This record gives sequence, C-alpha cells and structure tokens, in this order.
Amino acid sequence: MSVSFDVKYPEVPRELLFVEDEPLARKALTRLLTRHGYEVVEAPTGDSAMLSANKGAVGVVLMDIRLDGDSDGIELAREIQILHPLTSFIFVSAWAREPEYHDRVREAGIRVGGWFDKPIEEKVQELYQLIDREQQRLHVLARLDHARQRGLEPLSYLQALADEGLVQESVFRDVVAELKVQGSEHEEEHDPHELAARIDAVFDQMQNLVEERADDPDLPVLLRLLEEQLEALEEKEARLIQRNYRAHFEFSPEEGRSLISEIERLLDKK
Amino acid sequence: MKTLPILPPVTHPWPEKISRRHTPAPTAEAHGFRLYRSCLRWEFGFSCAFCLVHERDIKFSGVEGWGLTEVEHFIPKSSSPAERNVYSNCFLICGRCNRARGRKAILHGSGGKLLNPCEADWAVHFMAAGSRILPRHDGDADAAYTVEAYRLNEAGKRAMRSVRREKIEESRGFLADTVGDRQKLLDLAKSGQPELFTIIKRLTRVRWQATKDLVRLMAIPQDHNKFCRCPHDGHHSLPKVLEDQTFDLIDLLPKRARTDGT
Repeated sequence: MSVSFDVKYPEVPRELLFVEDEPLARKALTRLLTRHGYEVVEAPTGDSAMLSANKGAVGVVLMDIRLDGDSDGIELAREIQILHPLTSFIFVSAWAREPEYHDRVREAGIRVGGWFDKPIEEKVQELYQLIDREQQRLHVLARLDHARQRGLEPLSYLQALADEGLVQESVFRDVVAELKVQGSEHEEEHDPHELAARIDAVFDQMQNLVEERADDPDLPVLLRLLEEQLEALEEKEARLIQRNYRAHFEFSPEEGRSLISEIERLLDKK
Repeated sequence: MKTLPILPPVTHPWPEKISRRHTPAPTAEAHGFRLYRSCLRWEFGFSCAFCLVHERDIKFSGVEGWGLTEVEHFIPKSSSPAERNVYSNCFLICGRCNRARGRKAILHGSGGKLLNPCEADWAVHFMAAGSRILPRHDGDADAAYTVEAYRLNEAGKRAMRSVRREKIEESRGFLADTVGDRQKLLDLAKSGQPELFTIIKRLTRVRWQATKDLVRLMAIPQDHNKFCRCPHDGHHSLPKVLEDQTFDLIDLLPKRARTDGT
C-alpha cells in the first residue's frame, strides 16, 4: 500500500436530488432509479430543491433546465453549487442540445457530469453509469480536499489513488483538469491544457503522415511545416512554464543585491 | 546524510548506473505496475530517469499532463506483454518524455539503441550544457537516439531546467553571502546603533523568503511516502547519484539556527 487511505473524509451523499417539474416524467424516472438501487429525493420546484439543499449536503443532482414558474435549472444549479461546492449536475432536458445552455453552464462554472435529452428511458443504462461515475468523482474530490487540509499535494495524492486502482480513468482525467483549472486561474495568455493538446495533435499529424504517406514526394515539406508549427507552440509552452515556475518563488534578487550593498556599506563603515 | 537536501541548480547526468534497491512484491494485475510507483519514486530520486527533470520542476511548470510522473516500460508492454509488471522494466518518467517516446522501439533503424539508466552510466553518454542534455561524444548513436526518442531537450524541459537553475543560484548565493551578517548587525545595533534594527528586519525577511524558496526545491518532496511493496525497509533515501549532487540548506543557515532547529 503506497498511501494510507483509512482517514476520515467528508462523505458524499448517496442520494440523488432529482429536480423535475413534470410529475409523470419525474415519477417514471424515479421508479427506474429506485429499482436500480439509488435513493432519490424528488423536487418538483426550484423552491423545494433549495429546501432540500438547505437541509444538508447534496451529491449528484439530476436537473431539468426549464422549470415551472420563474425557476431556471441553470440558475438553480449555480445557487446549489454555491451552497454545496461538492455537487455535480446531470442536466436532463428536452433542450439538452441547445448550445446556449452549455455556454451558460460553462460561464457559471457549474460542475457538469453530462447532458441527457428527454425522453431518457431508452438511455437509462448510460445514465446509471454516469451517475456512478459522478458519485466517484465527488468522492475523489472530497478525499482530495481532505488531503489538501493535511498538507498533501492533491495531484500526487490523486495519482496514488489511481495507482491503487481506486479511480477510474475518466474520473482521473476530469479531476486533474479541475485541479489544473483551479491552479491556473491566473493564467490569461494560454490555456496550458489546450496548448499541450495542440502539441500532441501536431505529433499525431506527423505520425500519420509518416505512416500513411511514406511515398508522397511532398512528405518532407509537409513535415517541415509541421515541425515549424510544433516549434512555435513549444516556444509558447516554454514561456508559460517559465512564468508558472517563477510565480512560485518569492525572493527578489534585485532586493537581495541592494540589501547586500547596503549591509557591506554599513559594516565597512562601522 | 544531509539534513535538508536541496536540488542542485543543474542535475548532471547520473555519474553511474542506477542500481535498484527496491524489491517490490510482484503483481499480476492488469495495471499492477502502477503499484511500483512508490518504489520507483525513491529509486530514481523523484526525477524522470531519462531527462532528469524533478517532480518539483514538473509541479511548478503547471502544465503537466497525466499526474506528475508516470511509469515507463522500457521494453514496451504492447510488444512484450510479459514485461508489463516486471519491476526491472519499469522506470519513473515524466509525462513529456513518455509522450515523446510513444511507441518508439528500443532499436532504431539507423543503428542506435535506447539507453537504459540502470544499465548505462548516463554521464558516460551525456553531459549537461546550459539547459540541455547532450551526447558527450559525436558519433554516439545510442545517446543521439535516446536524446531524439525522449526529446530530452524540447523547449518545455529546457525552460524548467533554466528556471530551476536561476532560482536556486539566486537564493543560495544570497543566503551564502549574508549568512553571518544578521548577528554582526545585531551586535552593532545593541551597542548603540538602534537605527540598524530597520535593516536587520529587512534582512531577516529577505533571508526568510530565499530560505522558503529553497525549501520548495527540496530533493525529497513533502508528499513522499515510505509505504511501498518491499518486504524490507531502510531504502527510503535518495539514490547516491542524486544525493551527491544536492546541497544541504542547513549549511546556509546561521549556526544558532542549526543547533536549535529554528
């Protein structure tokens, strides 16, 4: 065992909060979920959802987008997440494909597990898998919070959990991405993950070219162009690395130099 | 044994082969090799066995991919599934080297072969030059292929090496230059120069900043652990090839701090 995991950490609720204003749809899915072994807390309105959230922690939430009255599922999700940061939302809506909603959710910084079109009954196995996955994600995030409080480095701790086979790969990737977003909020110029992905994509292109167009007389030129592209991307990445690296340090060599000359002057004089 | 070993400004290629000290219990699980990671971190001094970048460098760079370090199969597991969980085939590697090597074979068409830091003296084949690790001799096809396959000198790795060097040299230089000054100034201040207390305060603050910066570059990271799959203990120390290159932060602190631990 590489790390002791038998520590107490905040539990993630097993119950699902299901916010849906349409009674038939709510009852039908609740029945399926319950039969599958989940405990479901139903909320037919935004107010009742907030009431449940006020009572205590919330884990995975199945959220309709357009609710009766003035309630809006995205706004509601934002409010719940402020109250309970360790929450994940799965949006279940007839408008799940609308890009406008995706944009709003992204802008609001809501943790999203996935989007499902209605009717959902035929995709219910997929939904179960997603719920399990999101529950694991929250569980891992809770452990990392606890690890952070104990002074451990979350990324290394996460790696240790993964090494033990306690984290599925897709959860690992999502949590790494989330940790990095938290760690690089100061980054304005480039998203490091996007940059790394672009570099990887150029490598893939080069590999494909070499494998598939070995006889193409233009191959050297194409490869040279890709190499130039790669070089430019890597230079950007290197600048970003330097800036990130330096940001971790406090000592100012200029101040150090001025202090040394002042001390030398004082000690010589005295 | 150093009390507070700090990374060297430049990690020079390992001066001898890395001889493994850990003997983790074998595993037959599909991803069992991941369980070797605790052992591998100590084995290779929390550094990428190939490009020598340390976990601290990767963490500070902020652009690491899959975790801080990964497990490299020198003989690829895709071509030799039997080697998947063989400990001697597993190496600690940074994500950048791992991605760079990808599916490259050990033997290259041009005649070069990949070097293995447990079988080859890295310093015989490579040397540190500025922020680069270069083949020591022209015509060393193995070293050239290893540099190329793992992209030992891509811009990101050079950036990490150069900032580490800059930061350590700055902080270490300042601490060394001012190690006894605080006491001298204090003696003068107490003997009737009270205006010196201002500069003493400033010196204390700046020395503290430089000290903290070096602590951030401890060769043994704070999140190290000693729980590995070995049946024995006592091998949780840096490998000699890195230990010999580190310096002790305690040597840069005033004598009083060294004895009372402040």
